[in-house]
Amino acid sequence: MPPDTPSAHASTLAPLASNHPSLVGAAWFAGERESAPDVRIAFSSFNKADQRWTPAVFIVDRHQMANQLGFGIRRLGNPVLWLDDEERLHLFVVGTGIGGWATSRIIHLRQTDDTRDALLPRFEPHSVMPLSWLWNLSYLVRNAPIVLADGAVVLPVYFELGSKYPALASLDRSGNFRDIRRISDKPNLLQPALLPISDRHWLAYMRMSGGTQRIALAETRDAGTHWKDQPDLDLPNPNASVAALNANGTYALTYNPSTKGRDTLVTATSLDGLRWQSAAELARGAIGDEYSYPAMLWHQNALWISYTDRRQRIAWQRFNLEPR
Amino acid sequence: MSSLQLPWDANAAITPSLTVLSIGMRIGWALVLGAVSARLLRQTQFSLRVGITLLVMAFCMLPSQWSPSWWLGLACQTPSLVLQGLCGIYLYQQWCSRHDALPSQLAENTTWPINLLLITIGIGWLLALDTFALLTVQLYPIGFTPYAVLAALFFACLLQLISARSDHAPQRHHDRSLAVVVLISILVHLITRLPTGNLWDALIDPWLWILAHWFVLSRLKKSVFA
Repeated sequence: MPPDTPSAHASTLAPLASNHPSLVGAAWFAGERESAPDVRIAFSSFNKADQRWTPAVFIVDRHQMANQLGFGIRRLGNPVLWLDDEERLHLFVVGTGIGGWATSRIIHLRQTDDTRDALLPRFEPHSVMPLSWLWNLSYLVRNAPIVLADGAVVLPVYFELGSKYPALASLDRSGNFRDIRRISDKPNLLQPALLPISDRHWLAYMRMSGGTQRIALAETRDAGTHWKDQPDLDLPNPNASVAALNANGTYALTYNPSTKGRDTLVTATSLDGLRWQSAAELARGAIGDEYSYPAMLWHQNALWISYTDRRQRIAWQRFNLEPR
Repeated sequence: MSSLQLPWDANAAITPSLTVLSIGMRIGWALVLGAVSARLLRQTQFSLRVGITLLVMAFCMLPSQWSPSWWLGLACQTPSLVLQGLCGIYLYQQWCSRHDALPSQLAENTTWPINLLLITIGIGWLLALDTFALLTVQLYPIGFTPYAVLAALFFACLLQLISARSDHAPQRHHDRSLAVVVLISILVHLITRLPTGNLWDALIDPWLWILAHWFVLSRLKKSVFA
């Protein structure tokens, strides 16, 4: 954690450029508390040489970003990193308008050219993603994008003003915005996590706000053009974010296995994306503790997982999975 | 210099560059707040009205949080190009009302065509319902496609033809001005991608939609109590 920063939440992981001294980068939002005016985006990277995380530093603050954009941003949250096929990092962050998270917009930042090889990336705004007609309000991002064969990406996003529904934003290989498409019309699903089964067959796992309190599922067989809601998984969900990943043919899902709280966090594996077996317990705390908002990355034959540890810091673990 | 990229160019960036967005946002709010000021001060002396209006518009062009655009951008991003154009026409009318250049043609006894108001309200409702995922068809993404721009251009040309049909000369002039605003808005969007890269955002924003409701309700009220 950066010094004097009591709260951290919502981490994201991404591989770093091949010639970078670090292997993996992590970003999260940190400050006095969630939604505090001093919240900024912190960054650390896992150094190849000493196999340790570099000291966390703040890389984005709302004032600086607002000055570059030309309009105000009240709060920052939910960073998501992506390394494009030219090895440039992209950072998507949530910036709120007047009001809370429901007045959010997604701001897309790109790594500056002069820091492409530097230990610490610097970012500058690239665009405000145009996702909604209503003053572009209420779209947020939380989970990692999936990269398509041509280098383009689809970024899972969600709307949460009144009704909550998941969607996909498409970007080309340089990160230029292309399109948005809804995943589900159900009014209580958010924070989709994408699992690519094949080039065109993907599953989306979603946090459920109310309802059956299970992890919701939707499926596409045409690369996101059409989605079909599937029966909820037989896995509980305490209205908490999940992460999904295809690790060389073994599917991994990290979630809170309870309908009551976020005090336990587990990773499960599956061969079909529907039936899951618990593979590792990442954290278990007392009632009221929070281990949540997991992020996963498959990189150099290892599964990297980061998550919020009691809102005080970001924890991480690394696993070797047997390839299928 | 970056070359012009038309929306049917598959490699074209859909969204405006940040520089264009920032300048466009300030100009947009300057026009809107300028028109609001002129409207609120319409009973005052001409020079005072123009002076305050220009001051408000100049404030909107200031950088960072000194500018009302900064805060309006925080809340509502950028007004639609059509709303900006209408505010521009209103400011022009206010200016001309002093110089008697066009008072009888533009300012007197003219109303928005009811058809256009109803279309604005209808499209706004559809986009609002789409925003909350209450329609099975997704309308907003259509605004990113080149087909939408072509359809809008066709509609704007049609509007030009229809606007020439009124027998009442000032109304005809007024209608034609509206049609020109729509056409110019589409062309500006085509070239700059303002305000967001989506055609719907260029044509209609929630404020314009609310304003259209207000005009229709005012007219209904007038006809009921007449």
